[in-house]
Amino acid sequence: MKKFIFKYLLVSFSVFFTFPACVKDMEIDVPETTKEVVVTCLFNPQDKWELTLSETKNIQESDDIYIEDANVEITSETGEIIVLDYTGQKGVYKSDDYPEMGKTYTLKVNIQGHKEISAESTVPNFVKATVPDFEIKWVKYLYPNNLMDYDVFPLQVNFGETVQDARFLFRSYYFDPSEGYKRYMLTMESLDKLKKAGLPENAYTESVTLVDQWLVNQWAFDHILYDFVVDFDLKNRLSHLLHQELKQKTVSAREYEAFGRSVCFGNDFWLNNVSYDVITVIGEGQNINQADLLYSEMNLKYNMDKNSPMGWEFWLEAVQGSKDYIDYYRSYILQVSQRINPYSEPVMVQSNLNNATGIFAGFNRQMILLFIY
Amino acid sequence: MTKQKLTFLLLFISTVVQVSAQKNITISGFIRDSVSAENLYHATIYEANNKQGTISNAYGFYSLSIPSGKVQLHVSFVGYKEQVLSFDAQTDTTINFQLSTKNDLQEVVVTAQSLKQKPTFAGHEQIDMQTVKALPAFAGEQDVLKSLTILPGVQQGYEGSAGVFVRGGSPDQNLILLDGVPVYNATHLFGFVSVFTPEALQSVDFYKGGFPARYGARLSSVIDVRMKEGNKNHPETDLTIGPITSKYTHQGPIKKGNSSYLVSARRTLLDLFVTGIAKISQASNNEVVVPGLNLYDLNAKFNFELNPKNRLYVSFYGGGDRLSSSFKDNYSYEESETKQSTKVKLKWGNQIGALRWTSQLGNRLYLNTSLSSGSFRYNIHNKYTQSVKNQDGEEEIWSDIVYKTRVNNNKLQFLFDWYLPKNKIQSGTSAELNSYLPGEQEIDRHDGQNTQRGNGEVNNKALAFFIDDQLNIGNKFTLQGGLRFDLYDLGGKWHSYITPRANAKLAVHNNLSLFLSYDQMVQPLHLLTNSSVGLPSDIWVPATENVKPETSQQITFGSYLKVNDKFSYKFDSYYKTMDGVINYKAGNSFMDIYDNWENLVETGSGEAWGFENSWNYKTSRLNAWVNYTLSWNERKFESINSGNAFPFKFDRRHDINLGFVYNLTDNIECSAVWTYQTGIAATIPVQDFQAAGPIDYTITDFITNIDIEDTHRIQYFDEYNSYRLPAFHHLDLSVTFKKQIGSLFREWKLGVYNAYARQNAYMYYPQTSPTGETKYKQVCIFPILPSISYHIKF
Repeated sequence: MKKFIFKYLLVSFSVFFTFPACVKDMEIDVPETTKEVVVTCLFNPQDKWELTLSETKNIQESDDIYIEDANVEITSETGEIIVLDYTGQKGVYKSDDYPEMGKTYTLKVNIQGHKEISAESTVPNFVKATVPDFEIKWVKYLYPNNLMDYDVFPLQVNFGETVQDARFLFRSYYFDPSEGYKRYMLTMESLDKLKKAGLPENAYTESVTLVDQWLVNQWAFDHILYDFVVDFDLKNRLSHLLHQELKQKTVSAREYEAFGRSVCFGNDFWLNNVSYDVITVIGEGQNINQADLLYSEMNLKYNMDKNSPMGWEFWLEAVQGSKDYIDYYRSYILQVSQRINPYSEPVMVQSNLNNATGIFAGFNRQMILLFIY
Repeated sequence: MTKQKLTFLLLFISTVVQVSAQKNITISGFIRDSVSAENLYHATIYEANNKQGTISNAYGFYSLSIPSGKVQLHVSFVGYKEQVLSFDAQTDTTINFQLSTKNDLQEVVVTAQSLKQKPTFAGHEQIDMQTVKALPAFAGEQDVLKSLTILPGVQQGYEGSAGVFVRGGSPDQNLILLDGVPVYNATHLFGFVSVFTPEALQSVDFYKGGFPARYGARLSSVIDVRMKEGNKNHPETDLTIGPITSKYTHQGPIKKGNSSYLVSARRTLLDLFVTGIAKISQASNNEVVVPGLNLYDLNAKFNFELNPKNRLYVSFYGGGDRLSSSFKDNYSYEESETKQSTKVKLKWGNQIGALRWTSQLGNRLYLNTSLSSGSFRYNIHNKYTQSVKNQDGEEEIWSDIVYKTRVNNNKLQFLFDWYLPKNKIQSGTSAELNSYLPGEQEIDRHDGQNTQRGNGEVNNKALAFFIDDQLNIGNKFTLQGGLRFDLYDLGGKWHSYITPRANAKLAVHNNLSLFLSYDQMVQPLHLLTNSSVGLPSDIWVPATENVKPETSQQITFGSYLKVNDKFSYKFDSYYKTMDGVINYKAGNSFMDIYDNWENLVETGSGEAWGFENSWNYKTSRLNAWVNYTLSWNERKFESINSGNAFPFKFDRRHDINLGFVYNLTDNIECSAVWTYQTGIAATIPVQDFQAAGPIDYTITDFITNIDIEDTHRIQYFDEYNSYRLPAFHHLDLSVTFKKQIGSLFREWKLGVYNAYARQNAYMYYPQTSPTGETKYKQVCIFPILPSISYHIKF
């Protein structure tokens, strides 16, 4: 009987595990879909008016389609009309004017053969955010949404006044002065050299989009080799050639793109991270005068433990957004977080556009230097 | 409200008046199995001279009032030989019948029954366990819930899942009862296997419409599962070995002929292999994950005859799943040595207990008093430990996280069966105490930063009064009217609901019947779920002042045509509306349960309609059927799809089921079932655009551990559930070899699930090529699944 049971179990389990799950392209009928106009405009008083017009892209297409012949007008609540002109680049419309604090703006976009597109949003009145002097006290924080431990230290942001309708978004950043001011560019000529040296066709296609632009990070070029080149020797050879070919310059300003994002958690009743995102803290509340956060940076913790200063700057971004801005970000992060979860309901990203999709929303940004280590 | 109360009163008075107007003799007693002496539920007793009949109740009791004189009683039950008894009845008489099983093919109840044999109404099907055992099994597991999906109007959820969707409802809208006690999570293994061990079950009553008033608290269906009482005459043992589970059932008399017991145990053996191998690997490696998964079911039932008219039943069920994972990682860096270990244990399951006292009060009245308790618990325990040893000494950090959710139902019920000359009245009352723990988390840490958060325990109460009156008007028309009055305590304030039920049957001809029914239902609890796949993360919550109970109305019309002795056709149509159905707001999931759950959901409405067709051909050896349902199923929520109605995920337009069970010889039985369903509705973003703001970092999905691609792009869709996944279909085959060797009966069952390896989509995800083109990939989990099981009975 024992022999029989053993044989039976052996056969059963062999059969059971011989037929694993399989993955294949899904056959779905994708009917011709109507493309929507996409308006992208997040505006603040520090930057000139800039708006991008494009169309939604079918997932089976590779390139975005930009709208180049639109009339774009923004009217302020005081009746001032700002006309945005096409720059000739990737659907970008610009004006030399700046949005103003506390003002409400109405957008009107007219495209031939399309209903008038409109939206309205306000730049919130500025509320000064400050971080009082503090001492870094590392604690372990178990983030409940992903049950992972983080080394964090508490941080308090004061507003100096009671904000009646507070809508804030916080992120933490580091800035490495030894790298942050450098810019890199790959020319078309250099890319062709890489191709001749064996860069695969798909890597070449991906790299074309990066050509002739000053970028803040070499990694944008390096990752193409990592992603597309399998052969170790070829990868080394191409990497060496790439770094020879990359053009380099130094700038004097800290550009937003040069900051590295780290991890930040809300630690206050009116603040929270969305889903299992660990980067952005979002809060909406009434009569608020401070925000408690938990700041996390792995490199900082490691080097402080080793008593080995790096010379990095540590910053906090405090964005005061209009309601549209906050709703947009909350739904955007939600969509990204839930995108691959097969059991989640799909998330539609918030849009405040009439007859189009996208976002037209005002905000104020403050970058607060916390310390240098 | 006043009008409804008046109707209730009139219905009651009319039945009383009819009682006093009749002068008849009453024949009553019990109908039992001749071998095991088990009571037979829904056996038919028919008096041919007066053309009157009735059916036995859940405890085998019947009572038939007829004019005195010559009587000819026909007693029959599915799978049993008919008994005919003729005599001259002048006074009230007690007769107990003992029916013997047929030797030939058991009748398969996926079809309607003969009119004479089965005076049931539309929407009711009785499943006998022989039927369940004859059908092809999924991975060798005979499954009561899966066998229901053969019926028209009943659909399966995801592939392999035992979750059922009835007439546009969702799985939480099915009232699943085991010996009268609600089962909140009726599946194991993430929904692939139901919790019911077929060998321990006697019968299943399934209602998808025409609900008797004694049933409440759910909108879409009732699956009333009854455990066997146990063989009262001699001991009997069943042993089954299968690829997923192995089962042992033993039953026998406590006092021969009067009292009996049944115990049954089922457990998976998979974990013994998988976990064992991983543990061996862990002993020799620094970094190994040890997975563990097991499931178990324990059933026990005892019944005692206190005297010929009183009987006591004690039943218990305990079952659950255990999923565990232990990970250890030891490493050294310079002069420090680190040891890490993570242990995660998930436990979920149901526990049910019931005490039941049945009492025959005279020869027309039967009282069933029950006290029951049922609960579902789900716990996650996560323990993380890290110890670092270096020149400064040794430091240990740890965290201990426990997550709990629970629902508990305690109920006292009195149920009267009252057999009158022209009516059968069933009435009763019940009182319930319920408690819910929607989700609570406790975090203990080495540094004393302990936290407790979530939605605390909520208790509520419910009272119900109900009455059903089945009235025969002439020989051709039967009317069943029911009224249920529910009182729910929703957060300290009582709310009342009156839900009328009506069911009519007209025998136009000996071979043709027409059915009409109307039901109102109320559901005072909701299921927070993202998936419909029976995940343990599904959380039961009570209806509240803010999130009111779900309600529904359903009207059905149907007909049954018996073309000849072999061929029959049944048609049903239905229209159902649902209000107060809930849905997680976009992007919310069980992970957000620490907030007030009422803020995570929104309420909406639903609408479903369809046409169900069933053709059946039956001979002594062959039973073949074709079931086809054409249906529509929509939902409407204010924040989804701009407030417009959209197809429910399981809105399957066409649902076809073809099958047969054929006895090749007395010892070889084969069966085949082919299922076809329109693909589920899905929201598939087929367009996207560049996002305005910065989320250009990589996110790794916490659940699937896959990097989320293209976080800088926003997926765009304008219509909700506007796409269809590929059609879902599979063919399942089975051959059973039976042999009687002395007192030992043995059975080999060979089966293949999805015989032609159809790659049905279980889940899908987008994948973007380097050139920016996106394709959707589908994952199928059971391309083909053969199985073999061995069963002995002695």
